[in-house]
Amino acid sequence: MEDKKVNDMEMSAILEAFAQSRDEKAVSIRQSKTFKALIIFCNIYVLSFIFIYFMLWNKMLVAVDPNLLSTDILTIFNGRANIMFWLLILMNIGAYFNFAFKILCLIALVYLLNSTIDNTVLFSGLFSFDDRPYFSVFIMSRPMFFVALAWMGLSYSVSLEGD
Amino acid sequence: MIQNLGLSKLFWMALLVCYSFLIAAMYAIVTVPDGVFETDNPEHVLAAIKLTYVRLTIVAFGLVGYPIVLLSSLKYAKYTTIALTAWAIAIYIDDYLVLYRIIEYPNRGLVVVIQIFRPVLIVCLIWMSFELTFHKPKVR
Repeated sequence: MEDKKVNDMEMSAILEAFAQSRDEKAVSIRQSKTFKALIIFCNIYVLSFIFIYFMLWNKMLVAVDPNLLSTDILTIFNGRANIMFWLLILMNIGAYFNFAFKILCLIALVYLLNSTIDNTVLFSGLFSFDDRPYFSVFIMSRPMFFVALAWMGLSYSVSLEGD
Repeated sequence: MIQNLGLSKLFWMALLVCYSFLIAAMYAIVTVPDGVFETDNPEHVLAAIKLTYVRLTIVAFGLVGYPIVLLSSLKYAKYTTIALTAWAIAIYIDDYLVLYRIIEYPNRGLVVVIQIFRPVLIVCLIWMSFELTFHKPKVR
């Protein structure tokens, strides 16, 4: 009967193969401190605004201007908050598995630019910065988020071949 | 020059479909008759017109700039195509899931045909993005 046990040479070959794979994976998650700081900032930024938005939506936060909650504008923010949430999830997964992260950053940047242009075109005459503080903070901090997102994409180092 | 890029015939066909679609869309927007809009909700119509003209400007720049980028560098053409695809999908999702209560497009004419065939444009752009991402340049 044929001996099907794995000999020492085969065992060491298997271990070596896995060791190489583990090294590659370990390298893939070694990113610069700038990148780590930026991805933490982006996560906190998006999640905090989604949190404020859902507090407003559920009337757990006092809206300075009650008209903000009674118009169609909230429908738009609802859609945008959901889309941005899923984009953030995909970006985090992409960064963790080192897969298509730069492309996801580019998609998020394009989406944000588009939504900012849409908001500017549609609501430019409707808002005053004084009577809608949450909205004002959101708009004023947008350029900072654009820069952070672009910088994050550029500072991300791809360590696996073929990505 | 085009043959040196080593892209498939399907890529060029997709590019042709995109250009035809966008030129038809631009023609439809510029020549839309006044009576086509429903006048029940003028604010929604105004919002649609404002938004459409902003998008038209971006499309015009894209149509002129894309061949230059494509012939200059395949690497940047890849990122440009992915960005344009993301934008096309973003405005499609925005129109149907987010802005549907704010804007109102005409229900007649070439605009309806353009709206129906928007997914075709997105499919072509996705194909182009994939081809440019997984394209292996020819070794001379």
